[in-house]
Amino acid sequence: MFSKIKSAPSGDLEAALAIEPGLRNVVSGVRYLPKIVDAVQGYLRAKSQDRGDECLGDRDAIENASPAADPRDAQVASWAADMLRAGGMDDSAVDVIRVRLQEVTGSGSADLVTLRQLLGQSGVSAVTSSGAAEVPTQVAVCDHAAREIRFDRKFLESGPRAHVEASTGAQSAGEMRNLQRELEKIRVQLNVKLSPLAAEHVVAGPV
Amino acid sequence: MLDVLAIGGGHGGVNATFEPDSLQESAFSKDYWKNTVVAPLAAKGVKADLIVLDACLTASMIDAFAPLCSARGKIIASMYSINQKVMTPEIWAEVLGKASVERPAIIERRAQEVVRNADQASRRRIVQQDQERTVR
Repeated sequence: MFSKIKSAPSGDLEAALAIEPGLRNVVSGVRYLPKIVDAVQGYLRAKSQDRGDECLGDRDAIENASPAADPRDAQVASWAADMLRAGGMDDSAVDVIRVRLQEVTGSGSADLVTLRQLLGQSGVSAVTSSGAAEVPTQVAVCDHAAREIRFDRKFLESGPRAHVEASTGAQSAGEMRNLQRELEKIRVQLNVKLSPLAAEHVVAGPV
Repeated sequence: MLDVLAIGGGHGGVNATFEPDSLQESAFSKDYWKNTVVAPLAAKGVKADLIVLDACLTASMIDAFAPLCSARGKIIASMYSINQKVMTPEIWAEVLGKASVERPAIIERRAQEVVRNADQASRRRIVQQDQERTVR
């Protein structure tokens, strides 16, 4: 889900956010703030006016992006761009970005690179604590000796399945239904039992 | 008897797997795996202690690979679309690192693409083994 927030096409991300509305406030810090930092740093490194304008163009695109950026992020980006375009205010432009990053990450670091890394960490942490990461474990284990196929019991619950759908795409819901039907056929064909277990017992087997 | 039999690629659907994007082949149905891969291997008595079906939704194909599973064996498969392969470069490197003349790592030619991210030493060994097999 984190990688989807970071880089999925806006339509895919909007679909995921419809399932995980609690993550909407995470989007700006994960998806847009790093781009704003990159745009400002790119502008400062640019060796030509055209390249500099291109960098700020990346920043400008965020203003109209979907899902919308946090208005505070859009505001500091706008200030920074205005200062850079005005000339002679590069340090001030970096400062407004730095202050915003410190605010979002809760860090007092003055280093933009460090702050940018912390953005990623706080984004992962926010996704994890939101419950969106509460998905069934991906693996199933067919244990020949035990004559069973073990899988995470959360696979049978609608909530965790919805989190999978948000993370992997709308088609996942149908795929999981089809898979469940196939497992039932396999159960009969191989004469094994289907064992929904707590995630920690899927690989190791029941205690 | 194989220690590990890994079917890789990463892409899959219910009852099918798909080649990685960089390769030319497309879909491989459950029947393809049963008839073209599993049946000939099973006929030769090949069994594996651990079979890794490393693609999305491969729990739907456990039955296809069951004939190759040893009496104490396990098949690892996935229950939905995966965003991380079981056979990561690190795992591949570990598996390949344990290969020896007596216990060679047999990598099907097209699957070399799949392990291309394994560490450089392992990659060299794969290529060398493949060249040696070709010469023989």
